[in-house]
Amino acid sequence: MKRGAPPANVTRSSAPAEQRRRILRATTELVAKRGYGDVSVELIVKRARVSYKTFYKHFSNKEDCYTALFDRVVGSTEKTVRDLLAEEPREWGEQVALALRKLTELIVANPLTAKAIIVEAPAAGEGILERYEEATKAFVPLFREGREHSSRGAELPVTVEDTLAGSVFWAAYQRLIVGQADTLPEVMPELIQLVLRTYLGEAEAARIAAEAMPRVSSPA
Amino acid sequence: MGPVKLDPSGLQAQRYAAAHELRRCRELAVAAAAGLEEWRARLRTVTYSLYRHLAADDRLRRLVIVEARAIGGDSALLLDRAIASFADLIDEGRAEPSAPPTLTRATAELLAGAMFNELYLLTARRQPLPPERQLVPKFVYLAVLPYLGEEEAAAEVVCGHGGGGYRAG
Repeated sequence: MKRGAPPANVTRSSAPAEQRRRILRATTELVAKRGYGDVSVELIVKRARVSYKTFYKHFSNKEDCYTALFDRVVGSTEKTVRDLLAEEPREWGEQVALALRKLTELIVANPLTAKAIIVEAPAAGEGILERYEEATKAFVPLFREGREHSSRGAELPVTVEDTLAGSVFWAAYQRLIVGQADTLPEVMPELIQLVLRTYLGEAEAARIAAEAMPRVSSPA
Repeated sequence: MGPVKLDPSGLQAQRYAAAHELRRCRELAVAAAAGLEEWRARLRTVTYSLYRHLAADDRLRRLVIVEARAIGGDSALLLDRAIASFADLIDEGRAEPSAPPTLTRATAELLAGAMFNELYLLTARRQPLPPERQLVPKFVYLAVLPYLGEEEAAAEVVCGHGGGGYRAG
């Protein structure tokens, strides 16, 4: 196929959206495999099979392109989790477990995308850092609801949820950086428990974690 | 003797400095824990000591927390080892009689990583570290909670280190 030529099933009206999708896909793959610093617009246009003109019609530069990718992935992930939680009413602890399990599933299913966002965002310049910090704290409001279920809710450190949310990010980061996203489910029971024990106590946290995500080592 | 070849990018010097500072952090942690028998006292003292050390110098903190991984060489490895060493210290909590037997090292790794992540975000965005009473009692609270339970963890928040009597922020 000639560079810049859309696939046969792409209509004139859908072509810009298809081009943008290909550029973002190429950026995801390149950033995940080479690291943000080693990716250039030249590499992106080659991999996406679009012209420079097409790239610059959509994005002003590499950082703008990566920021669009970051916003799309984070926005879509947050919406998926939010929609899941809205499906049916559950106890707060079960909502937390469900949200963390869903995030795990998304990361395991899309390790390249997860790596491009979670591992590489800090390398993408200081402009993206505020977004990155917001993303790492996406679970803070949900976790904070736990205070209403805790006899010590008012006594907990004010920003304890920031640290707990950071543990979620760290669990993913640590595995993505060594290409072992598929091992993330192994740590999820302890991660769920780490968050929930702060509000619900050890026994209840352990019960919910075990029900939400049976330990991998357990017999099937 | 020929002319001295300087490193124009300064990368080698940065790597050396980061590795040196990370080794200093390790020595500081070892010295802080020396002579303390009780796990909780060691954990608390090391956490406060490292925080004070890192909070005292913004440039040093940026070098060891943000730049060490990016500049490569030994410093990235030493940073990973430093986080792992702190996780080791937290993980010693599993030997406490009150620790649930189901806990694994994963809990300690998650806690050490979460604390590093919080310091990383503040440092990467070039924000000064908040006063220690806003972060460190919270860190110690979270690190103690899985192993010693709610009552003991709550004491860290109220008392803090050195009997300051403040509430963590």
